[in-house]
Amino acid sequence: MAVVTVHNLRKAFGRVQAVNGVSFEVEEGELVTLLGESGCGKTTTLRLIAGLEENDEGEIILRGEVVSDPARSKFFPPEKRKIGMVFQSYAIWPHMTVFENVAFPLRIRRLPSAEIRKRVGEVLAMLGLKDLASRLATRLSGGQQQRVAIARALACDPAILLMDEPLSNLDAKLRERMRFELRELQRRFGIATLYVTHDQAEAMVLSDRIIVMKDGHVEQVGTPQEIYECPQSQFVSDFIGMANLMTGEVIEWEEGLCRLLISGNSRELIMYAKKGSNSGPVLVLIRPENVEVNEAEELPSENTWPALVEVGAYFGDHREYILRDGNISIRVKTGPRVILKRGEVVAVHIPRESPVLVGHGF
Amino acid sequence: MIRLRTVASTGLLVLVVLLVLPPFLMLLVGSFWGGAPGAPGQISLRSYIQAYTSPHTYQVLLNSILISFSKTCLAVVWGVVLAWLVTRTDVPFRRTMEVLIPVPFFIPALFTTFAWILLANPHNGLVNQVLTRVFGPEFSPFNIYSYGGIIFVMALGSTSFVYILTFGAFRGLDPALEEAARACGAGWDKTFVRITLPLVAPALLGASILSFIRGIEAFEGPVLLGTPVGIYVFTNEIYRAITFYDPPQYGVATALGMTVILITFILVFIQWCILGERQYFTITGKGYNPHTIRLRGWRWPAFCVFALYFLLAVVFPVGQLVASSFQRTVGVYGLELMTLDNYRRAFSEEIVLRALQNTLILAIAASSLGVLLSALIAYVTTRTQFWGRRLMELISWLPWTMPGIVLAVGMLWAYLSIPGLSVFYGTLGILLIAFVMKGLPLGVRALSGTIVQVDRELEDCARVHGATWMQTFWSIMLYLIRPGMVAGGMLFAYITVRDLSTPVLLYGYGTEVLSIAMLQFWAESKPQIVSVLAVVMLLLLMILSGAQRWLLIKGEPLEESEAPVDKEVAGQLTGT
Ligand SMILES: Nc1ncnc2c1ncn2[C@@H]1O[C@H](COP(=O)(O)OP(=O)(O)OP(=O)(O)O)[C@@H](O)[C@H]1O
Ligand SMILES: [Mg+2]
Repeated sequence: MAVVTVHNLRKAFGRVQAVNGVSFEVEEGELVTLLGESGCGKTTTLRLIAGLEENDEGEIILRGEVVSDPARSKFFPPEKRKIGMVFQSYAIWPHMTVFENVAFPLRIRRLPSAEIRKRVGEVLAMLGLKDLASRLATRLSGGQQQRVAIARALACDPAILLMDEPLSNLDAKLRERMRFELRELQRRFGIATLYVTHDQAEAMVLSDRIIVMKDGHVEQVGTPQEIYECPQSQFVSDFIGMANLMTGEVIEWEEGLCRLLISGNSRELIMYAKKGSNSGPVLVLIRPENVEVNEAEELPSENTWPALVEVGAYFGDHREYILRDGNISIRVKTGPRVILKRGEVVAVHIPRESPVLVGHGF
Repeated sequence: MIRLRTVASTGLLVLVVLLVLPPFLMLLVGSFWGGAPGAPGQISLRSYIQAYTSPHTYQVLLNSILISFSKTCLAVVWGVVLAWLVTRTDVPFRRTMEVLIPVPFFIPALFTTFAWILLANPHNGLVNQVLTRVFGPEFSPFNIYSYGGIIFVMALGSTSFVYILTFGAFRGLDPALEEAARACGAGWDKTFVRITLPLVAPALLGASILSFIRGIEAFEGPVLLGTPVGIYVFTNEIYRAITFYDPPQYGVATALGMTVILITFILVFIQWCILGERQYFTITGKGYNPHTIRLRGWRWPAFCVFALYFLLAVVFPVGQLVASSFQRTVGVYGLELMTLDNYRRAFSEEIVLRALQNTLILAIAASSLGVLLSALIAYVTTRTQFWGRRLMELISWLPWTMPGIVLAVGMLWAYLSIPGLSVFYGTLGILLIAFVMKGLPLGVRALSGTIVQVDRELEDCARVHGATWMQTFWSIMLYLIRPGMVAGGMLFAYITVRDLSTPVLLYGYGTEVLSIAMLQFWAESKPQIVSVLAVVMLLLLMILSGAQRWLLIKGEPLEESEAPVDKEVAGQLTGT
């Protein structure tokens, strides 16, 4: 049974439809990320699940119990939902010590004080905060505050943990380290987690599954690999990683193969693809790292096009170039030693297995 | 779906409506009623006709506007010069001045007015005595019982008020703007008029309008200085209509009261249009701009502007009342005549003990009830989606348009004519309700200002982790807004301790407060006892302000200990 089930969730603020028909599930022990551009409704979705906002339509089911369903006038306030939540600002209460912050959820539930001490001690130890217990919560570094927020969210053993961009207030180096630490922690507690971020690299590192959102609806749900390798829409392919997107016309389907005519430069492309129903224009995605660049002598051969070098940049561990062929510009990623001169003509080779048809299924 | 939160908010709205609207509505009804409160009558325009066919009323209107306008001009010039000196020039003792100029603002108008009567009355005023001794018996120039006297005494508090309101604008000014003018060859006088003044004009205009409103609403100066010589403005005229006639002229009083409310409404509206969003500011701030203007030979003359102000507004009044509280006969002073008799006599009077007790009870009750109510209202209006929140905000602001005396007339009407409410009449209860109501607009503002600064997620976080709405309010919100709570609580206490205009029509035998006791002893020609009580009132206010500092420093885990204070919060405190 899923820990969280969200069905056809909708929420409008005045005329802004912040969440517009979102459905997904989070399974036991899973870390699921809500990923999308700023303003696409991630935070609102999270707040709806927490009960901090009331949905206009749709159902929210936590551990098999319907906690919100306007159609049946059902709404559990946040305190009845038994969740843990980490806020973007951490929301550490400045008038309490670290210990009191973490103990708050337990005190509210009127646990005996001996048990509170024991439980808080355990959680603080798990997060390496033992020595800070009596510190005033405002006298902590960003990373420490974040840990306190997590400790507090975990203190009362919630079935689900909600996190809203918990790393966005940290500096770049710390943020990168914390990604792995968070992942490790979530595994250790084995707690189902719904994580909001707009940083795709973060989503890739952390997630079991990613939910890509756009304008209040779900664009695609899948493992990081599925999302990256088989995006289901132009938006997803563009949003996750770098992408060369081209439109083409299917000439014919052979067994397991597809022969295309690319629109921008009128060249032929052969790629592996299961036969689909679409015969009209299709969208082809080729990742920059899957394009090979060779000497111009290689021409002509299969899937090999001449291209003009327009710009190049050095990144230390790799180089990137933008090449042009007709109306198509192709971005390629090469090793750091591959040096192409501006204005030079090279041969671009696209192996059969590199391109994918966007929105074509797996 | 009906939530507990909606129910609670609705309950609060009902409470606010029941608290604020009866006096307000009954004042309106009363002005058309014709009869006395609770007595039969019929709806008519008689009161308005009676009031507005009498030429006396127009004299009153003219007096009100003239007096308030003059004292505003005086206060603005004085206050602005002081603010400019402290923030922009190299006048000596700037730091000391910065601390001392706000002091008169915390001295009750009642205190200053009594003091100046003793200092400058034509018979035995100390200033006049000194002058006669120096220049001969014919030279006794000052008569405080005059237009000039009223304007002067009211301007003393207002100057400090204008200073506080414009200080921030002056200090926030980028010195480079003035330096640029100096570089272009303008002297400091031209720079002040052409550059500095226009830049602070919005703040100045806002402060002037507020000062003018407070002038229209002032009671102590007009009633003590104007009434004896027949100078009437709205407030002492309303007081006279009710207390000097038998039967009391309730009709005229309410008709005049409605006029004052109308004037205030219009002025507040203008002020809102001018100030727009810039409603909040901080009284005290950190940091100090480098002074830009070297006064050279004018340094000491400039200091004298301050010295004169501080002498007139603080040293003379406080010195006079402290001195006369230790003297057997007012008007005759000498070290060898020092006595504690006045204190002994004052504290053997039953009414003094009663007034002191009542004042303390009311101050404590009004500040705790008032601040709690303000916090709840501020919370609901700023943090919830409650349907009636705009309405609640508006209603809680309404008492702002009522001067104390008008509020008292409205209360009289409501509590005498609405069946069931009359049990409160003549009890401490009615005074408590009046003080809570009077402080409400500022209390709500002070707390709204604090609440909007609290990050929303701090609350959400408590909700998610199991706390109900009420538990969150009690265990999180109340702690986080403590600076605002302390400031708001003190506001109610200050108003209760120093105000005369509200209790003057509402007290009964046994429910006298300190200001009422002072008025009674004054009427009985016992200025020594009045002096004693004035000193006690000042001590009480000093203890309060000490308590406020202590509370803020003691329970302050947050870095910032300075609550934002609304301009109008400052305005109410002066009472001038
Ligand atoms: N309380 C609110 N009142 C009005 N509009 C709101 C409110 N909260 C969110 N919105 C609007 O709803 C939309 C979705 O907002 P939301 O905060 O969910 O975006 P987000 O995906 O979390 O963005 P970000 O990455 O910037 O945090 C936005 O257009 C926002 O302006
Ligand atoms: Mg967000």
